[in-house]
Amino acid sequence: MTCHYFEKDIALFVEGDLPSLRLAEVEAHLRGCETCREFADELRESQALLQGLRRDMVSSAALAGVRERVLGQLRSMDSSGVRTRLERWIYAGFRPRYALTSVVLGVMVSAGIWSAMRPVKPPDIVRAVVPPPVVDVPSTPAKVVPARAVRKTTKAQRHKEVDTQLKVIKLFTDDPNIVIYWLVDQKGADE
Amino acid sequence: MELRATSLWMSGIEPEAEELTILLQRAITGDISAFEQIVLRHERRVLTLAWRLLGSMEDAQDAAQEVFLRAFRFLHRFDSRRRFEPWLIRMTVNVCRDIGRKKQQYPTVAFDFERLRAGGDPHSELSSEEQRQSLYAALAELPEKEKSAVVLRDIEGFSTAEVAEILGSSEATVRSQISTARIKIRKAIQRLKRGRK
Repeated sequence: MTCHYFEKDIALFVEGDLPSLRLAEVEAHLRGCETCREFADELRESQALLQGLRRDMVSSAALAGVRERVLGQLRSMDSSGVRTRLERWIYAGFRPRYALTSVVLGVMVSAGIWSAMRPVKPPDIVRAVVPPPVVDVPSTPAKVVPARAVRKTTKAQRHKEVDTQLKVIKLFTDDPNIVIYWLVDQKGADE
Repeated sequence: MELRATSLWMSGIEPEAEELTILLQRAITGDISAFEQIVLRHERRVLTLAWRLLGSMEDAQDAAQEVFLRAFRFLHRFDSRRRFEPWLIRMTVNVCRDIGRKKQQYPTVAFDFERLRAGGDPHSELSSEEQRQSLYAALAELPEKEKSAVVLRDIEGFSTAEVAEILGSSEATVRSQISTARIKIRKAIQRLKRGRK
């Protein structure tokens, strides 16, 4: 590794800002590298000079000037600053946790109002409808009848026959696409 | 004295901090005299930092005024569980950044030495005006973020963690900024020394 690699670390090392993970490596390098030791000494010198600037202070007159301007402006705002006072009144004590609480309460109240206003759905009505015969289901096991023996009946007679044998109950559900047909015979047995 | 120190330690709150908390609570309600006490406590630090960042006393005074007015206006947003000074210092850095960008003189400003009162030992190495000027010039040439970091860490004396909190960046970023700035400042001092020889 070149000395350049250590420059930034040494700049931190001289002020004790180097993370402990890098400390041992930099110390080992400094022990074996005179150029870097000189670099560290120069850094210590410039750092001492830089920290010496802490003694430079602004004058009391400059401070008084700032204070006067600040307080003068605040007093003029205080006498006429209705808007500022209103802002302070509105936002006083406003914190994110209050905002969150307000949002939660708002959601709860809205949900309550919505559920109260929602139209009440009538209970499901089961209507039994006897439609025209939709299914021709014989009530007895089918018999093989010779073609010639088939009795010819009229349409009305067939309707009557089915009517006496079967009942179709049509059940309406919530979903208009689903309709249940329930076939029962005269005795009430399911078909 | 020892008893007082023990009771303070047990209470867990420094009297100065407690006093400041009371002043802040009063200032939030619009009490200007309480805010005046807050200004008196922090004006030197705010103005000096603004001057170090901007390099001109006029700009620094404008910045300090803006900082205190903003502080008064947004005092209700200050989280009282945190320390007040870093909040104010962060505001100072932001205001100086805004002013510097507006005037576009942030990186190339000439420091105003007339308004300064140099303290300390006149026989020390730092009493050399040449060295001080060279240091201020080197600071003025630093990019904005490096300058803020090195001024806060090496001159204002905040820890790396505090600087990171003030600047709203990570400690690793601050370390990188201050090491680069220190190397540049060392270079400026070495240039000055070579020029003397």
